[in-house]
Amino acid sequence: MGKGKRQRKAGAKPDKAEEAPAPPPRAPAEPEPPLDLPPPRTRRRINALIAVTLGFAVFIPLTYYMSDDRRDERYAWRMFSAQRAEVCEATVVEDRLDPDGQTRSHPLDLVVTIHQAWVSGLKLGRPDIVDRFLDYRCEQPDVRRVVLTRDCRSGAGRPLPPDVIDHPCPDAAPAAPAPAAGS
Amino acid sequence: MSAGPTAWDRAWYGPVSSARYWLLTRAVLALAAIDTWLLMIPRGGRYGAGGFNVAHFAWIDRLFPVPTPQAYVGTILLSGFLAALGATGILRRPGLLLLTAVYSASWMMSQLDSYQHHYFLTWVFLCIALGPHLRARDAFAPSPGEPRTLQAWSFKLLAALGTVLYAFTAVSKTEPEWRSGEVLIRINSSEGKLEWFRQFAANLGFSDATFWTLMGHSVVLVQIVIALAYLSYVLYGERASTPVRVIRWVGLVAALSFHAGAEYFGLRIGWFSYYMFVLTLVFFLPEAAVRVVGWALTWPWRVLTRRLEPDDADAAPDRQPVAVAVALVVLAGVAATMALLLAPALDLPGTRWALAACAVTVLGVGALRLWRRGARAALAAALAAALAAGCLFVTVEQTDVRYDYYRFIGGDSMRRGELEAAQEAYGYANTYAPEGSSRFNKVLRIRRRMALEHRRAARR
Repeated sequence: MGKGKRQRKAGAKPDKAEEAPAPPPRAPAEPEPPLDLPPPRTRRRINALIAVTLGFAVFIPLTYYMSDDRRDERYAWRMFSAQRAEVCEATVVEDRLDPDGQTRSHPLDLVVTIHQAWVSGLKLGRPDIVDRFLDYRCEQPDVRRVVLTRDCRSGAGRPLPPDVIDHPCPDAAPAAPAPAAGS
Repeated sequence: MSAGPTAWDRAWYGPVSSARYWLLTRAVLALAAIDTWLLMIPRGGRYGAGGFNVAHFAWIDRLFPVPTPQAYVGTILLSGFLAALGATGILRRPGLLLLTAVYSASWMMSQLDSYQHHYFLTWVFLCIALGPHLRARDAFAPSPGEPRTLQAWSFKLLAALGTVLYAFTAVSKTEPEWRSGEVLIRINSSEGKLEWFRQFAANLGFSDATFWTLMGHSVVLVQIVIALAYLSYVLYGERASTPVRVIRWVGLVAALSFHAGAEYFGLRIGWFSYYMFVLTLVFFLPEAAVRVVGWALTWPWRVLTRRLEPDDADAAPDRQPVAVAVALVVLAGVAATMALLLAPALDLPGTRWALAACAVTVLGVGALRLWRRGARAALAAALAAALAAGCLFVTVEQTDVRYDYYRFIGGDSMRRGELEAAQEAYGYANTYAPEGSSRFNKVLRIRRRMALEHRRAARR
């Protein structure tokens, strides 16, 4: 035995008779099947496609979290968010040029004007819908200014500060204000 | 010297279970077909109402400022039909890419459709389109005890997209309002469906605040666990060690309970939960379970398709003149029936152009199969199209799709003072109203209001 040890230290191959019995080889927990890899060129293309797809899938919701405006929750995987739990009312008041040439404020009945589903979008303050709605109203010939007010309560019922958007119509011709009473 | 496979290669190109792959692709496509027809058609009347619309992307607004019900319902019918054809296995990559494009167009055209799972389905369809085509008889061995695998990186990509979805959902639930349970209190306030659990916790000595906080935090944990379970499939696929198997079991329970909870609450999220049930079961159940259940479920389908297209058909395409003529006649017959009979029978806007597009698709797919694989393959395409068209007809005919579609238009027109449109819509709704749900009273009310307005106008 001692001789054998010395031989191993010297780097020589040990005598077979002197070897301790080797433990049986342990089978791996799960045999790894051989990979069916596509050709390198195809693989490069697939890898690029995977990277681009995942990049998009991660980047799109990330833009929501990087943005200051948190009202547009599309593509952000924010189902049943705190924002959606808010209960809001939306009211619109327009400055319109009346037939007598005076500009006066008129409340707008939203449900009569657009579909109920869009009213829900306005209540949530979804930016694209709000912007398009304000432009849409300004496309009406007599509308000079649109004021959208959202009054909301949080999911727990706390009143939130009102959100007021005052939108003067860009192409509206200046009109004479309504004369003061008695003039 | 060539390097061995990297961790990246093992993750994306590792074998996936054929049974999982087949079941997931076909189940999602079948579900999507019914979902589009059943849930999305009734909302079609709101498109273009009041001449107002906001598309998901500004460039769409510039191209198609205001979509019409004809455009929307037609797009939905077409995407449902393509999904149904895909579920039968007739569509290959170009057809599935077409489905992805048409379906995406259906939600992109307007923010009236803001369901996040519709956006997710676009990714799912893309993954299905990019994956290999697999027949049931190839996915399942003659004996259910024999597992089969294939290389499908797109299937792993789908699991990766699931990871992204649940990871971001977890992030969204870390907001103070969620962690404190405020949002859950609000959800619970309408019907009090969490009351039983709250009472139970109270009996154990938990205060209300503690209960809601625990519930809020547990939702975050659930999302993280589900995300990890999906990630484990990307990384390890079918090579699941014991810890990975544990993660998947926990993920399975977490995902099923989370989505069952969403359904229990009656949240208005369409069929999102059902899609995620399919994904959860297929990805997280042990392969043997998926394989045995799938083997049993697909047995009739395998027998039928083997008869229609025997294995030797690929080797020797059937091009005998009589067989070709029969296939062409059947194909033309199915296409003509869809375009000329089914379209008017559905009695919905947009059906004519949509069913014509479906017919053209069927003829195109059939002709391609005839050219490449012979008469039997073309005949199989015709029968698949007939099956898909039959499902469409039954879905529209046997449910309240048309009733809902027309009564929703009636209600909206009424609110916006468009009385003639409301009267017409309610008239249609009455034609398809289920027992005891007719809108005759509404029609009478509209008529009285119209008569009143006429008298007022005459007086002026």
